[in-house]
Amino acid sequence: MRKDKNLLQKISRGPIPWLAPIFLVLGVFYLIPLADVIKTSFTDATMTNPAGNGFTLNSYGKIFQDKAFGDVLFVTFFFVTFSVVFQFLLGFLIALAVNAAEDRHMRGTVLTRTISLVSWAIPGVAIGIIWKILYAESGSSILNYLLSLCGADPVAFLSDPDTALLSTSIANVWRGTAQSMILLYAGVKTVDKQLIEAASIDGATAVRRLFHIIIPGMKSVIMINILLNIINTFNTFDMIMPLTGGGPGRSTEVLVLSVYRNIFQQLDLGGGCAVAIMLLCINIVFSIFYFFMNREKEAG
Amino acid sequence: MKKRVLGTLLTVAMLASVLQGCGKQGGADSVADAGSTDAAQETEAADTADAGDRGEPTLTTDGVGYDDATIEITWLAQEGFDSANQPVAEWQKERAIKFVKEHPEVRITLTASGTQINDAMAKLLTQAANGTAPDVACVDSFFLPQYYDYLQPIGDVLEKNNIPLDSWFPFAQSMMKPEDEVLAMWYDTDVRALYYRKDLVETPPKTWDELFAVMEPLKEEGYSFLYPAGKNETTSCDILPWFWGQGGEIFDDSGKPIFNEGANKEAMLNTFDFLKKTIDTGITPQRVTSFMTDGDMIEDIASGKVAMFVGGSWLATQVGAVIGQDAFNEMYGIVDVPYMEGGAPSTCCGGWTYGVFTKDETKRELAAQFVIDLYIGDEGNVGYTSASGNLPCRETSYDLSDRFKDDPNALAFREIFQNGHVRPAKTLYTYFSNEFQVALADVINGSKTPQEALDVMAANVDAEYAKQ
Repeated sequence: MRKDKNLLQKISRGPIPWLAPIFLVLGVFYLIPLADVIKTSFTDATMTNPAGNGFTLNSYGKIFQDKAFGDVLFVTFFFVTFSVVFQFLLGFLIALAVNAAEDRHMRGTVLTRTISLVSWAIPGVAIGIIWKILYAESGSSILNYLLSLCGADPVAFLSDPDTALLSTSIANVWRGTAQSMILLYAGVKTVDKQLIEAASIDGATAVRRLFHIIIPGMKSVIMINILLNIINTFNTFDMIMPLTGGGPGRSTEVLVLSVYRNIFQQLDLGGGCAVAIMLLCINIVFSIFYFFMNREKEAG
Repeated sequence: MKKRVLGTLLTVAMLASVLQGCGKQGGADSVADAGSTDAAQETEAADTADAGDRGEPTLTTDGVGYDDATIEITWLAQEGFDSANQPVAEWQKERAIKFVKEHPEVRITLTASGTQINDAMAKLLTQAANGTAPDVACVDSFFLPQYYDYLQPIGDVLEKNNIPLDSWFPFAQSMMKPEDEVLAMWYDTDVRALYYRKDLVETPPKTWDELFAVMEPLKEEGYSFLYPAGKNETTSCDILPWFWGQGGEIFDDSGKPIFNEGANKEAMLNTFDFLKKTIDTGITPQRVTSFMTDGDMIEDIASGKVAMFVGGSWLATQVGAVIGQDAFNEMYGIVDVPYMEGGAPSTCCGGWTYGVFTKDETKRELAAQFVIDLYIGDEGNVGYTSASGNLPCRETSYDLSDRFKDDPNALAFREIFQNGHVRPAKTLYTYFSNEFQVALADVINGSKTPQEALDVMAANVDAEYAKQ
């Protein structure tokens, strides 16, 4: 009896009471559905036969036999690479500009930060619709009208397969730049100002200060920012759906859209889950990087 | 003093409730079904009187019924009682209240399917496969064949209500009754048509050659001919009639793809060639591949530089809402989609059906009757489609209401429905449709010749068929 009481006391003083609710929530809402998706990916389940006909690797085999899957992978990697590079560069540029303006006690820095944040607060579906309006190719379209003022010919932003992917990626850059800016702005603030001032007194140019002091000083923040952008961009679905629906043809069909097409249009649960698991694996790889980067940052 | 005040308040409250009850009875009487038979009126009067004794049923956004109801019918509808589409919400509320007054033992529990049709239909299909589908549910006609195994026959209830199958348009009959039993009730529909500017096009083109001949001079004046060709099911619906009009078939009876064989292959290539020609001749801009829905054309149409366009019947009201319905009716004519020389007019029809999933005999009959009262019977079909602005799928409904009798657009669509096709009831269709949309975009963008696009499309569809 006394032993039991001691054990209870020991448990109540430990981390279990604090961690149990979160493990319960994670288990019920994340791990069980995840296990179900993994299980389904190894079946030939369809919407009309959700249980499938036992274990099979056919769903994975079908992905690699699908002639269109290579196109989907190319589109996904272009979309992710372009988005992540420019989200980082633009976010970094804005963060540096806001920081420099604050150092000079200039007005409007809060307003600039707020405006940059607006795109972060807009839902992806709305961003897709906004950019669809901007990219419209009719006589009354906005971007083409602006281009015509410069004497340029109208651009087939969304109807030409070659430009559609670029247009979609640009819309995603606009969407993700805000998050980059927030993280990188916080990172810039952590760089020792005295170090920058000392380098400046010693005659270091702005470029040298950037590459030898600022960037090394916020290396881990930059890496975390890039990893988060990669994960977010791989999972982008809500913006592309209203913007292009994956078209024209397959020119903007990314992996997540492929999952949707498999499950909700072709009613192929097994195939859709298999693509989803491949996407999950990609995300896990980057999440592991993120985990180690975060640990390094905390240790530093 | 306090007792006297309390007594007065109680008296006032009782009087108010009595007066309210009288008002409700009057209200119930006022919705008596004018079109019913004498016997039905007597029954209804008795039921209404009974309902009057019971008072009003409890109406919430989740359903309607009396608290002591013993039968619950779960109902999946396109729109809920709290829908932003007020006329539909009001119609459903009014008719559902009437139904539970006539069947006080029934409580209706409502769920709205929402606007994400694919998601809702996929979820319903999983529920049906697991035996947990609602007792009665709306099913997009496009998905209907997937549900045949789970739907219960309702022909006997239609018969009791004197609603013959042939009161529906021909295209709907075979879908509603795939074999021996009527499994679904098609309550509203839509159709693809050619809209033309009456001030620009004296005689609307019947064939492709006539279309090019009419558009040639108009093109010089900056007018265009539009159709959607983006990545969406809309594209397949709007373009497949050109293939069907040549007698083309996508699948054989067993579900094997045959669109790349013999005359079907020729019809598919002709369709691709026709689309390519619309781009090459300049009557259609290449940017039609960015039109994912018919609605994406409205901006161009409203700009006044579109001489003709192919689209769904809903465009008559959607464009009408932008430029004014009277202006639209005066400016635009509606005819069959042009077909290839030697072919025949054809069109694609869609819309929504209701099916009963419950196997409980009592609930099956009640659920079917509920749908008939709300959407299918003469009054229900005219009332619902008037509220929703959609077109009735029962041809007989067009003669019952001035809304259809006096509406030139509805009359035009009624004619076009006679050439209606539905998309094939085959599992592989959605895969085909996706590949078809990709092929069309490739042809229109010039990245593949019609033959190349067809080869790739056929190879992909055949490979998918081989896996099944």
